[in-house]
Amino acid sequence: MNKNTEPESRQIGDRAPHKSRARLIAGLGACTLLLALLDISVGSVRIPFAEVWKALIGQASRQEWATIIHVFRLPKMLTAMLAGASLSVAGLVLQSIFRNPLAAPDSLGIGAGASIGVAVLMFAGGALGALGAGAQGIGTQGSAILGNLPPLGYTLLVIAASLGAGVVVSIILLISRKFEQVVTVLIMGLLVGYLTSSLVSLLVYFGSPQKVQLYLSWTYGSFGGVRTNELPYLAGATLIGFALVGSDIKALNAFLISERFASTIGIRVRASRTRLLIAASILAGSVTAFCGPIAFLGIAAPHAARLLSRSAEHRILLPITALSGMCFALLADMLSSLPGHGAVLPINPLLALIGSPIIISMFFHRDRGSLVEEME
Amino acid sequence: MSPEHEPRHTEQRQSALPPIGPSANLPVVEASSLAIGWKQGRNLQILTRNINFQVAAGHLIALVGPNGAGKSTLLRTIAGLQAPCGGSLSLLERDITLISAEERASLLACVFNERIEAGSLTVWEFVAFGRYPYTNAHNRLTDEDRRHIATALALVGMERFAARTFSSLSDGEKQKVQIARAVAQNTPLLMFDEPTVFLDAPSRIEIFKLAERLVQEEGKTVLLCTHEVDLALKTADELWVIDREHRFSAGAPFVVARSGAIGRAFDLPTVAFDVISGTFRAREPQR
Repeated sequence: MNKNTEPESRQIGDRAPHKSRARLIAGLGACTLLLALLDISVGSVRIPFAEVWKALIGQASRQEWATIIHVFRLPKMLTAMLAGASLSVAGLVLQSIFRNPLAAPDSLGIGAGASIGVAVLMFAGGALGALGAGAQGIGTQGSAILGNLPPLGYTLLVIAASLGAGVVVSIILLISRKFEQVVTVLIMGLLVGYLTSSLVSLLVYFGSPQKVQLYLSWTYGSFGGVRTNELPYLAGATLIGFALVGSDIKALNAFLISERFASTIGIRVRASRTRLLIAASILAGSVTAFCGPIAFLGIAAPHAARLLSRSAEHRILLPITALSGMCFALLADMLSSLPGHGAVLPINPLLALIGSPIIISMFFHRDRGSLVEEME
Repeated sequence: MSPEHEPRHTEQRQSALPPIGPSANLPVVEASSLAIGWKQGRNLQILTRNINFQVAAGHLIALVGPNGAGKSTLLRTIAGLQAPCGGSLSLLERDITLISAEERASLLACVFNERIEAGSLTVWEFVAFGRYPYTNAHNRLTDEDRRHIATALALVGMERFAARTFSSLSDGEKQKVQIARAVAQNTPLLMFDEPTVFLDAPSRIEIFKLAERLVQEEGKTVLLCTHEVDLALKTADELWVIDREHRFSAGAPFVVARSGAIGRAFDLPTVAFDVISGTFRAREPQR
């Protein structure tokens, strides 16, 4: 109780915790950089660390190492970082809007929505004949799912996934206006997710074997399928999503209390909520388009961020969530292509395998911490 | 925040005094032939009609009535959360429907009766919500914002709790912090929706005294709706009653009480309002 008697209210108010949170952000940033470097250094081909660095600055002693770093590992690392940040922030936004810790892109059926967008494009989009050509690339090049799509094709894929995600979000939004109970909204989200997945299954059932294989390899989830020339699309979608979320920080904070509360402190509730849901579908939709439906990050990274920062202020939560998401994604990516085994493991199980124990242990750690606080 | 509202913010920041000065003689809230209720598509379900009032600055108004009479609906209508179904309603002589959400938040602050799950939000951060109408899009607090927050916390006597988490407080403390948040919003009008409902008897009196102090010392206008008829009679400058037939009446507390409006609103076969003592009493059994 002693700390409550400090006389300077502005000091205890918001300045003191700021310092430690700035340190936390800096620490996580350093951790992310380190993991990124490690991620680029490990792979099925062993490259000495010094050579990795040389290749990065364009002075590789062997051309094949330069090719491996620039064509495969660098795009894969950047994809992991972008996907980690996007999915985590999408999860944070959805959890705050729905005031529900279980809300996430996948639990609300947004991943399924993006899947149906992609499935419709792959199976019904006859005009995109080039899409099928990409199937040959699968396997040898870490599943180059998009094959030789022209730039319009990538844009279409991202638009299709975002639209699919957006349709699901809109349905959930309509449901959330009709039913006040957020649990109801969540259950409805799950049902919409099932509905969407079954539609996808039907599409797959009637698809040609080649397209089915193409689609299935997309559903396993991978950071390795995005090529250098596709990266700008993913990065652009991430930037747009982040910009939208960043401009509605105040609304996110206020939504955590209630929408009515937000309205009485001057937030335009509907406009903000719509913008944020669009941002979440762009973030989750674009990642799903390029990397497949990746679960876990959207639900886990925001919790890790809350546990780490002990904050409900989104100005702080947002960077911490993005950085935590990047760390998880990089760790999983590293494990998926560790040297010693030839195969590339799918990302989805690895993410949950390493992420869940970390977050569970964080919960235990937090509870001990709060117990100590109460006893003081 | 959209750019067209920036000038207003700078204007607000220049004046150190709360904005009651120039507007002190304007009616803070005014209604004429106001009808309140719900609009569902084209269906209009009017709950209470013909509401007339005019509230001058620096008054404490208590709104009483049985559940379902329309107290909360009236408060929500004044708060701009639902549109009036007829008649006119104005805040500082401006039509309520023409005031933007941002601007409304600098004219009136509301504390609704709702359970708040604030996670790890601290008391300070919660009161800082009151500065949202004035902070920039990144929610960066200026020294003036900090001063408002600290003053509001001191006013409700919660300054020592600034670093505590909101969820660790008792119901009475939470209510006071909520009121501090409304005070930090620096508005001429404050509205409290059943502020005493979860509280024990001493805390209830404390909240009423706090409302009284906000009016007398800070020059605020406070409109609170409550079930504490006896406390309302003792504390309020003006009493508004909505009775079971959804009729609205307003006036000095004991004038309203003597008119029988409280009895019409609350009386049961076994319990009646006693005008002389200002309390409810069991009726003598009829023989």
